[in-house]
Amino acid sequence: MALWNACLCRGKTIKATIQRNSHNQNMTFTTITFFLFLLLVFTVHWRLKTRLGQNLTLLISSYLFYSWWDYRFCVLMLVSSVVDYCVGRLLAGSTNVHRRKCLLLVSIITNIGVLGFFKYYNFFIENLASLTNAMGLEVNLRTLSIILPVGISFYTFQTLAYTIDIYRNKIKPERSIIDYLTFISFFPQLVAGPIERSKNLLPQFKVHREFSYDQGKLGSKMILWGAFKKMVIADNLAIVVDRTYGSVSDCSGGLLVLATVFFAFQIYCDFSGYSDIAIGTAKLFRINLMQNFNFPYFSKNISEFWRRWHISLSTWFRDYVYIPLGGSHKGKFRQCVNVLATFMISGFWHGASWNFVLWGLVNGVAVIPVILLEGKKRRTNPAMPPGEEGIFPSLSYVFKVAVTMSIICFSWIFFRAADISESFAIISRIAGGIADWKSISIFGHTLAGQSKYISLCVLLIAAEWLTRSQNNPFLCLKVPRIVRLAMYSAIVWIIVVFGAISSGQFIYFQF
Amino acid sequence: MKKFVVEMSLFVVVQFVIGLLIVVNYPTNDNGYYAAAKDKHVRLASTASPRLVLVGGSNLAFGLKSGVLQDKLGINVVNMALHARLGLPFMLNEITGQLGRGDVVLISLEYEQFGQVKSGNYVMRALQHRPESINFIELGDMKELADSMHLFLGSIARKSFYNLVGRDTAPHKPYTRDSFNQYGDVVCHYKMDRDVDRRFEMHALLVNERSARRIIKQLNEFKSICESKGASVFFAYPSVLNEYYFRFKPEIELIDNLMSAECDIPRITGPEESIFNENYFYDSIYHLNLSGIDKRTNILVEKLDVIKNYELVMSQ
Repeated sequence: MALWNACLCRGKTIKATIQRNSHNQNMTFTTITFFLFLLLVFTVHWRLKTRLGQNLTLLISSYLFYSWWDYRFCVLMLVSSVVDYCVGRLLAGSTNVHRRKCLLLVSIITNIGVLGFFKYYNFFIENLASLTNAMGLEVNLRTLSIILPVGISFYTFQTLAYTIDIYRNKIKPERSIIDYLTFISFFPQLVAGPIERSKNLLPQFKVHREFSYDQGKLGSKMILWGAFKKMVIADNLAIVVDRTYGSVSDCSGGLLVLATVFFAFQIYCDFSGYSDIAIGTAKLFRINLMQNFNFPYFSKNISEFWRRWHISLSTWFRDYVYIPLGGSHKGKFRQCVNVLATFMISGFWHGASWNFVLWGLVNGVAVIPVILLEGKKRRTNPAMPPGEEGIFPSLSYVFKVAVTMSIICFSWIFFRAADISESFAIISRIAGGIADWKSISIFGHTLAGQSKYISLCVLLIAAEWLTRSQNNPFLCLKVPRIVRLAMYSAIVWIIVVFGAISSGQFIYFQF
Repeated sequence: MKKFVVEMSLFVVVQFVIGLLIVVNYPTNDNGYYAAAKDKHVRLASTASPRLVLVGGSNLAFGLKSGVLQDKLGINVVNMALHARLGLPFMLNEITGQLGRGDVVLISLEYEQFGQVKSGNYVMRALQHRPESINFIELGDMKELADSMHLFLGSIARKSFYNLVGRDTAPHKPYTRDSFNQYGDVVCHYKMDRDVDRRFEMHALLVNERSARRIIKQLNEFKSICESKGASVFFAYPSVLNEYYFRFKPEIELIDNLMSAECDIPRITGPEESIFNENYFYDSIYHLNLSGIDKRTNILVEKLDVIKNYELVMSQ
């Protein structure tokens, strides 16, 4: 294999990740640097006996962790946090409705302004330039070379939710700036969530924490399972996905179908793997973060999928966009409009590009029939494990899951493709492939050629299905301790041998 | 707490022992591609100034006949090029201490080098064969080296594991030390056929003004050092597959425009002069086959000859 191409393949996650981040190498969760950093923070944190000392340790280490990307990002986060801290304090001291509204506006403008500039400035300028050109006007608009600060969308939403909750009188403002800054910058969830609510996370910084053996053990297991999903499954699937999506015109429809399904598994293992490591790491400090994924690919319909996928973001949009828009209380038509608007905004949150907006729209359109058909029927509780009891699912359940999965995979095309035109090029190649019988036999060969990667997906499905009553397969191991330890060792070495192949960038770091 | 720490420590110790057992099986092989750096450094140290020193990635290693350059230009040639991913600072630091009066340095960087693609993993592979090269790493790059340590250790573990289960782990030609000639060019592939059914892989060229300017700044700093040592330095664009050039023309033009406006190093070839069709390539968009190597060598001889004659006239 050509030396240059080989190294590009290894170092790559998705195109946009490298484009938008200033560096493609960093102290991500799967690096040895992070392991050593965690060891140091863990030691210092538990050596300190006071709550203030523990919180200060977490605060300083979180800013250190963030500055590893770029120290300038820390200033931005600090400004955003301090503005919301002050707004929160002022909101609590005010009963004047007009003043309260103005204060909330300050918070929204600051946060959305910062996010808008760093993430969307070039998008708006480029589109404005296209629009003015189309109207025959000559306007000199310049795009800027802006680095998108990693994690900005996540902490902006977290801090914004804090001020909105105070405005709604749902929570009291935080008095201690140390505790508040720790809540915003807590390193396990800083760069890609889960987007925490102050109601859940802040009180945990208000009490003195004692180490819990059970939490520590559980956290370690979650880290191990998360690393396995990310490094062994996601990073290996990324090789096929990147290669296929990198040369769409050279690939058959069958290979594109397969690459899209692989991407569905890649992004799931990448992001849920990240979330597991984040939640597990937090547990080592006796902090409980919210669950972010609950077996989304076992959902029976698309609406259920969105209640199980990236739960912290879905509930954020529900509480701060969908419900304020009127939710389901203003009639069916208005509800459908609200759903579409929420999904499109969610798509735009993911990336400043029209294909993300279209991705949101496709999902919104797919959710509407479910909402209309569901009516007032009781929904599946997203906190419960999916599917029916027992090992073997019923045929009707399998059918529903397959249909849901197909819709989701279709929408992932817009998410993964470089732009809208490439998305449609992929769809037309896939459609052409389905219509042509010859292509189906080629697809058979393609499947055989990718058996290693298909096995990885099957392994994941089996492991998750059989252990879905728990949130981590390791919790279901009912074997002697020595066997369990041998299995953990085996997992470690599978990760080292087959997983240490990428720089450790997570797809969601770009958002 | 104590129970947790003891259990975790025991677990880590067990993994460390397993790791040692695996690494015992690490196949030591001094014929790896990066081991060629040893020979290149020996040649650089043993060749007296004035010399023509070639610096760049594998586009130069797989890209010309140094022997022909030496004969035609009448100056000893040392081809230091190995791999683009070693990064420009590492490559320049490799030769800076050795430069003398009258030396000519020719730099040819792959277009990706103007982006953000270097990886500490590749530097560590080079260090594995030539530990003293650690002196060529800049302090600021140590962070990147640490962050990519897992990739390097992973490759060691992988190779050891494959060796343990009886899989072939030996490097394959032309990516071996013995594929290079005495000047530092890869020659082994001259008679190797290209797999014509396999298309050349082309990945996105991720370059922006900021990243390109960073490289240009490094080039300008290097030029000042060369001047202080009485050496001269030139830049040549890499020979690249025409299809790649046209696909990423805006990015390549951005690089060229910035180089024209801000780089102090004279360029002896333009990007368009360096576009070859696929018949001239061996296994990647930068690696030339024998015909390509002959073609590029002739271009470089012609350009460098003009410079040499000009400098002779100027010195008289």
